Amino acid sequence: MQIGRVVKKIVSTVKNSAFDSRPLLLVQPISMDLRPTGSEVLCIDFIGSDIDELVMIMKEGSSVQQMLNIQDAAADAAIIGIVDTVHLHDVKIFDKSTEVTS
Amino acid sequence: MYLGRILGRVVCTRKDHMMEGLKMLIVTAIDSDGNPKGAPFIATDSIGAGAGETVFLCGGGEAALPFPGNQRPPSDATVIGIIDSIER
Repeated sequence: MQIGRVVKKIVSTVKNSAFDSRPLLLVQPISMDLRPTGSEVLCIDFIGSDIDELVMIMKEGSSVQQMLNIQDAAADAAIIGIVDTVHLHDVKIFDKSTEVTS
Repeated sequence: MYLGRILGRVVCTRKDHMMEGLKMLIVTAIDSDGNPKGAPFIATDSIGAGAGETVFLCGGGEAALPFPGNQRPPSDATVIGIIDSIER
C-alpha cells in the first residue's frame, strides 16, 4: 500500500459495470517525505474521501475484486483508508487535524 | 487505473484469435490537467470509445478481464470508461 493525496474527482457515465455506484478519484501517490512521486492513479473509493485528503491506496487487482465482490472486475486500484496521522522514526510527519507537516 | 486520450486506431487482420472483434485504439496517457505524458501506445477497447475522447484505462493483468464470455485477449491496457468531466 501507499499514501497519496486526492487531486481530482472523475465523472463517467459510460463505464465498465464493475464501477457502478462507487466514486472514482484521481490520487497522486506521495512518498514518506510527503512529496509527490510517480504517476497519478485512478482509484475506486470505498471510504468516502474527498479532494485534498491524504488517503491510503492499494494497487492489487485481486484485492479490489474481493472488495467489490465481483470476480473478473477490471479494477486495479482502490482507496482503502483516510490517513489521520503518519509517524516516521518517532516523528509525527503528518496530522490530519492540524494539517501541519514537518 | 489511469487517464488517457484517444488519438487514433490500429487495424490488424492477422492477430491472436482472442483479439478478434476487438477495437484497438492508439492512446496517450494524460495527467489530471489533460496534458499528454509519455509515448502513445495501443489499448484494446471494451466500452465503445472513439477518437478524441478522454477515457480511463486498466493496465496489467486486469486488462484481459472486461470482455464478455470467455474472451481473454493478450492485452496490457484496456479502455474501461469514458470520462464526462473531471472535477476539482
